[in-house]
Amino acid sequence: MPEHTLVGQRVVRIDSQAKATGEARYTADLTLPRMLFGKVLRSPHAHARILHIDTSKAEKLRGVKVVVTGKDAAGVKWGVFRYTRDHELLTADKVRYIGEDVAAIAAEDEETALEALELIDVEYEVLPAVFDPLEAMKGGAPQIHDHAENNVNIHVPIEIGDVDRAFDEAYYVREDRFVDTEYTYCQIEPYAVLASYDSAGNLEIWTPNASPHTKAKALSNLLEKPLNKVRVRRINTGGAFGGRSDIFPGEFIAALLAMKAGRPVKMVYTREESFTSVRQAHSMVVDSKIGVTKDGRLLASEIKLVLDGGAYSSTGPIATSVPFLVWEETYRLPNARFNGYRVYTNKLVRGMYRCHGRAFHGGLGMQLDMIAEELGIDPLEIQLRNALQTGETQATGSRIISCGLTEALEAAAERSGWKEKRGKLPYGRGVGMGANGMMVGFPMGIRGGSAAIVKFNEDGGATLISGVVDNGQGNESMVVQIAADVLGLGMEGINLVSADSEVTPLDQGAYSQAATFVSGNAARAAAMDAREQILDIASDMLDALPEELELKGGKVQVRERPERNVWLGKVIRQALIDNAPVVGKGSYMPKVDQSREWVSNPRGQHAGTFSFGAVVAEVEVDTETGQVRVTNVTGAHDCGFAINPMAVEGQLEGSVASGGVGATLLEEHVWDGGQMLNANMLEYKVPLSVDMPQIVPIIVETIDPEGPFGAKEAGLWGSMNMFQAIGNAVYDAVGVWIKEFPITPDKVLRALEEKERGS
Amino acid sequence: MQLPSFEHLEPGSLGEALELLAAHGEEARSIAGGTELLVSMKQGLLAPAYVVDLKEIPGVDFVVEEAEGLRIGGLTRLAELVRSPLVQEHFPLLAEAASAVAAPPLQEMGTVAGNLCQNTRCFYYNQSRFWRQVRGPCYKTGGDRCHVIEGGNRCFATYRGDLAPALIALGATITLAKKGGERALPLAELYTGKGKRPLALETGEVLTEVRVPASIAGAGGDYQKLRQRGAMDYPLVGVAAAVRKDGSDVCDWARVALTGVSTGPLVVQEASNLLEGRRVDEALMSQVADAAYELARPVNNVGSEATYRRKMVRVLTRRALFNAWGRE
Amino acid sequence: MRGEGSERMEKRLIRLLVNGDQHDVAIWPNETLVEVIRDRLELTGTKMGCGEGACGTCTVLVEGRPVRSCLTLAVEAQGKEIVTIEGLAEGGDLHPVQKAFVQRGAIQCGFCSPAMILTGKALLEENPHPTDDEVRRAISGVVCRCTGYAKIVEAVLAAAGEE
Repeated sequence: MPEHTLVGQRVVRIDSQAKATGEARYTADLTLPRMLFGKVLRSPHAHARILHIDTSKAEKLRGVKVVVTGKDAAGVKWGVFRYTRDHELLTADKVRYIGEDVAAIAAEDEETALEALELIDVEYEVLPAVFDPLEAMKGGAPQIHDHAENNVNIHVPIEIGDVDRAFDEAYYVREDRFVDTEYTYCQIEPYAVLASYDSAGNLEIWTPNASPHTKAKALSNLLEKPLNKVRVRRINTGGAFGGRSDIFPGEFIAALLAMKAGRPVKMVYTREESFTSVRQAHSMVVDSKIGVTKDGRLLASEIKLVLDGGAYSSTGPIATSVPFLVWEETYRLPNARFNGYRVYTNKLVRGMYRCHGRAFHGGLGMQLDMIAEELGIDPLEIQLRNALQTGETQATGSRIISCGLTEALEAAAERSGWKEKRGKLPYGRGVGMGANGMMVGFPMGIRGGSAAIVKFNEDGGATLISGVVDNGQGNESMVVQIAADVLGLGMEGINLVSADSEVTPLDQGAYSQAATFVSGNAARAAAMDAREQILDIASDMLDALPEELELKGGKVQVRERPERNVWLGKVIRQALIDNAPVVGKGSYMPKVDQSREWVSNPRGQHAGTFSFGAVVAEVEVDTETGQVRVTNVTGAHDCGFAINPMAVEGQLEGSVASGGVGATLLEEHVWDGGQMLNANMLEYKVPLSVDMPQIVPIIVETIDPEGPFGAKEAGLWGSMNMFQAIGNAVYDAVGVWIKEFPITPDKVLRALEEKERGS
Repeated sequence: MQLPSFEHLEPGSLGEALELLAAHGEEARSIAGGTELLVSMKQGLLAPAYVVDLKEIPGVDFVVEEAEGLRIGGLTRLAELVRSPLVQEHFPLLAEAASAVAAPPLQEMGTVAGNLCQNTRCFYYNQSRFWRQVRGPCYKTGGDRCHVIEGGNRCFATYRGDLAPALIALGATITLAKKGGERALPLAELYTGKGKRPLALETGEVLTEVRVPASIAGAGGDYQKLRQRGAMDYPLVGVAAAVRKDGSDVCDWARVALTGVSTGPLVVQEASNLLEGRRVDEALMSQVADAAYELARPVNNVGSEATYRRKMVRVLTRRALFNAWGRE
Repeated sequence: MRGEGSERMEKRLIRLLVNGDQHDVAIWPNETLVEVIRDRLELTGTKMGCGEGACGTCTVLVEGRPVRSCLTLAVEAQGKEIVTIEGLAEGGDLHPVQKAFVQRGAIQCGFCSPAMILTGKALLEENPHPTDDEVRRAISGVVCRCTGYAKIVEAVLAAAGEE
């Protein structure tokens, strides 16, 4: 394979221009002829039986075309897994959270739809509700689902080695509890959906999504329609972060409305609805007992995790396992016992957020610092001693084929001035470190792989057909860049048709951090296949062996004698005449243990590969107000290979905002019983430009043996290492550990006051 | 989000505006920047039949310095205050407070009158109709209870404006105009201290002018605003301090006002009592800070803990005084 | 129906000046500028992220200054020069701020980009050589969830450098 012509360069993304001019369209921007507007009637009760719904008055309002309730649905319960089918999406019998969908209207305009909602009468039998997962797990709490005793949705038990003996042998053992509040994705684009249905029974859906195939499959089940009748189209998505992956009531309801009305239906949620009625992130309580040797090596880990899952299971088994898995992906863990519980509560359904479980991984990362403090060892040393390496096997059995964790730790420490700063800055200033491994491409059964096709025009241009999904990360550009590199074309030489469940082959979506590794690999394979076909034909035309040829600048040329060349268009035409048109086909499935199951069999190769990162955060604490300001974030990420370094940096920088300054310091959902008090963008505090630190991202390249050009993943980083970096930095600055997130000023102040009282 | 129906009226002069407001009484609201009114209307908190648009009325947005002092028209945009060389040089506390409001684009839209006359706020009030339906009305929305303080006998909605404490600290007076006349009063008297109806405005009255006495020009001032983020957020606590020294190092005038910690802005009377006529030192500043702490009564209705916010009143008052004195 | 059953609302014919073009539209008084721009004029580059002025994605320039079009009544915008994102490029050439955003990877999901670009343009017209802090302050009213703002600030500074 020749040297790279395009990958590795800071290329301008193919989607940027349209987004810069306002041409790029999102779901709410779309219109179709005779389109109706949909609105949803939502439950004001956290837990209630629906006794009766009277829609007759609403139906009579002029301008109202159709009304749907749970009775219009086929009564199918959806579940991401076969064993988690608990969600009817438009409930017919019971509501389980405030804001849940009860009925919906499609009308000629939005005002009429809203007016009609007021005319629907619903008779409820209010039931006692429970909002705290620890309460919900106790016997005697209101039962939210008939099948779930003590409201336990998922229990993941993992046992490795001999934990009890290991604790006995440990030199130092400590136990801590970490608590994390709830977050929300707060993607800047509110939820919206457009559904269109024709008389032949074909349903088309546009909605911001992280996988059209996932949405299509779910709708196919729920509507009892074959997949070829359910077409989820490509649409620009204004951010996802894990909150657009699953199937939501909105698209199901829009489909029902469109099917009943025989006209397209668009529903645009208010920002409040986007907060209360789609998905949010889990809150959690982590009880972690950790035992180490005298030199700070992890011997034993015993962790109980309780997740607030909300009213339905969503990606329950994955969400319950992932926090532990990130821990075992980062550090050597010879003995471990993990019990993860995802518990139902009468609140909005929770999903995974930009990976997941950062208070878990963050809390445990802080414990490593606490251990370092106790043993008198530099926290950096503790990290390095426990950091996994290439070739090692993780606790539950995944082999690591490339690992730059040590390199990342050292780079972060060096560039940030760790040795000069840690423990040495004036009181009120401090530095802290965080590190993480990250699974890339985990088992999703048939959905875990991707396939791609490359077809050519007679003038030598090409179209890549791939299921890859782009929610802003730059994935579309990435696959084009890969294919263009292989085929010797520029970025303009390859069009992309993507993310369409009818047209593009199955793809895992922007999920499990797999777009580059899986979709990128499939695109590369397809381009290589096309390349092989092209070189085969061209070898006749140029009277040379295929291995002597290369693709460059839209031509096929003899490598040693480039003046002997043929224009690619000519090769394509020759192929057409020969009845062997060049069509490249390729696929990739990560080499995971397909028998591995989240709950029943959490053993075996868990991911195709793993990326690794480390970060140092520098903070300033105002000791009178408790306010923490992050002044600098310097860190390194082993992404395998940076296909587009500019895009990688963008992801790293973005993760510092959401995972770092946002989630660690600012963001929290405030609840009163079953109601969110801050379901709006003024009171849910997403970081602004003036809240951000200086960010110094370093790219580490370990050239993964499986990844396309060695590339792995780049989207997570700060989301999984900033909690501990900031928490540890606060300790370095003012000597207190804050174990409840977010680290708000009042908590810091209280801790400082307690410390003073204690001394 | 949809606005309810209303008739939009566009008076060409202040007189015409006041006529319309008088004519329609409780059925009318005036709109200036619209940054508060329109949000409240979208949330179903207000549905005036008539919206009297003051945006184009000439002669009510100005910043001028006269012999008696600074005169600011009620319809002056906050951004104009920030930009005004006059304000920056002679009344920097005012520029500081204005630039602390929300973020620059909202300063382009919001007016002085609008900011001063803003409604009190509460997690349980500033919500959509659907949201509020879940737990029923409270005192502020016509009900008989407070959702924040169980068993509470009144409304505890919080006043969160940034300009008010600064202007109160500067000894500002305002002019309220309505059809048939106008009245002048100290700014502090505009506020009733009642969460439900926080302004002592008569029906049809418009705040047309703010005056800051010339004697305060050049005084040392500081506005301390505690908020979660560096922009956009209302104050969790806001403290404005203005102090003036006489020829020697003695304080001959001191005012401290608070916002964000009660149902109206609070004047810390002890500031004048303790500081005027004295040489100010840190011990005295601390005493004033303690007095401010005693005065503040935040409740848990705007985010961040009330007990924490109350402690911050003390911290920020000390800082505001320290800075103000240093700038004198 | 909007306006139906409301005796007090009458449609008004207003003239809007958007991106140098004159548009005569019949609107209801309670239509906000963002609704008219998006639904009537079909300029969907201006977004509606929250409808309450908290996110900034509805930003347009009115007489050169960034404002929240979701909190501006359409009737109030009559006769004022309005610029939306679609009005920036001149005859196919991107405005320097747009170019800088594209070149510097300052656009990820793109939903906040029109607002950021317009705000950057307005800033540079008032302050051609802003500091990093001044850029951050100018854009502090627009929320971005993807980029961490780093490359957005870089892009505005780069555009300043190029002009």
